[in-house]
Amino acid sequence: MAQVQVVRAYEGPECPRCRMRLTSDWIRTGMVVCPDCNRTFEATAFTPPQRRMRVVEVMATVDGSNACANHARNAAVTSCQRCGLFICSLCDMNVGSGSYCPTCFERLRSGNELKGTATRYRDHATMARNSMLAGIFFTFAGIGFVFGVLALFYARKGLRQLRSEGRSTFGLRMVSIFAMLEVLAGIAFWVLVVVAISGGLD
Amino acid sequence: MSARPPERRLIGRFTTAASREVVWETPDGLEIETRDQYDVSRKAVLFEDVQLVTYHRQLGVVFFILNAVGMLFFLMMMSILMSMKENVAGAVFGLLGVPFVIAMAIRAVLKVDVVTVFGRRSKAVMHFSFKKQRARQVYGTICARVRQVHRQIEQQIAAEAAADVSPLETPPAPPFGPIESTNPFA
Repeated sequence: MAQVQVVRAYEGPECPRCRMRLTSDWIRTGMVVCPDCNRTFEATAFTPPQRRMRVVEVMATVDGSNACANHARNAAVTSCQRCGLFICSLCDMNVGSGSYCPTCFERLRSGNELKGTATRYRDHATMARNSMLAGIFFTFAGIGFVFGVLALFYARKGLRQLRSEGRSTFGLRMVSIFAMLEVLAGIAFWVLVVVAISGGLD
Repeated sequence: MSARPPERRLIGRFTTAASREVVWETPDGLEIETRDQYDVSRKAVLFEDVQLVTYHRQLGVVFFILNAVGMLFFLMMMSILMSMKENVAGAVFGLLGVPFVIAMAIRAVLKVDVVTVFGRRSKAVMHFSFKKQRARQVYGTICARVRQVHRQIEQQIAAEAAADVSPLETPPAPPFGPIESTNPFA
C-alpha cells in the first residue's frame, strides 16, 4: 500500500517553536514572544531587496526588435537553445546552462537533463557501502560475493557522482577494495566447495 | 546525477525519527539535503531571499517522552523481578534503564539549540545538541552573510537605477549680469 506523506506547504516565516505563521508585525529583530504559544525566541529580521527585472518593450527599441513569443509587447533578448523561440528577459530561464524558454526548461528539468537543476537523486555511495556491509555478513554463508558485485556496481556510479560534486572519494574507494575482497573470497569459497565435493582435498 | 558546486561547507543537521536533513553553506545560500532512505532531495534557501533568522533553545518533548517510556519499562521490569526475589535479573534491568536516565538528564541540562533560517520559498532548520558555541557561531555567520548579500544587491540595484536615469535636458542658464529690459514702455 502506498504511503501517503502529507507535506505542509511553506508559506513564509513562522514561529520556530509552534510553527504558527508570523505576520509582518512579528517579523522583527530582537527577542520575540510568539503571539500564539507565548514562548520566546531570538530573531534577526531582514528585508530582502527586490530585484528589478529590466524588460525592454518592442516600441522602445530603435531598430524594432523581434517580439517575445509569450509577451507580444516585450522585445526578445535571446532565443531558446532547444526550440529556438524568441524570448524576453522575463521568459529567459538561464541557470548557467544556457537560455531556455519556460516550457523547455520545465521539460529538461523534470528529466534531470539540466545541469544544476536536479533536486532529487539516488545516493549510490551509501548503497555501495551498505551492500558491502551486507556482503561481509553473508560471506560466512558463501553468498557474500553477490553483494560484493552489487557494491562494486553502486560504487562505480557513486564515484562518478562524488567526482562531479568535487567530494572526496577515499571512503568509496575503500568500499570498492572490500567489495573486491568479498568477490575473491566468494570465488575461493565455491572453488574449495567444488574441489571438496569432487574429492580433490583427499 | 547530481551537480552541485564543490565549494560547500557542512554547517548543521536536523534529524528526526522520519527524516534526516543536512544543511550545507554555499556561496549563494544554504543547501538542504533531505534523505529518505537512498533518495536525496535537495532544496535551497538563498541568502538574498532570507527574511528571518531565529535562534532558540528547546527541550525536545518527543525525545524526552521516548526516553521516559524506555526508562519506565526497565524500572517496571526491575520492580517486578525484585518482587519475585530475582535480585540479579532485577539489577540487570535496572542498569539497562540507566542510559535512558542519563540521556534525559543531559537533555534537561543542555537542551537543544535550534537555528532556523526562513526564506521566501523555503526554510532551513539546524539542531545543535552539544555544540552551543557552534550554534551561536552559525547564527552569527548566517546573519552576517545575509546582510552582506543584501547590501551587495542593494548597491547593484542602485547602480542599475543610476545608469537608467538619462540626464535631464536643462534649460540654458540666464545671462550673467544685470538683465536689460527690452520693454519699450518701461
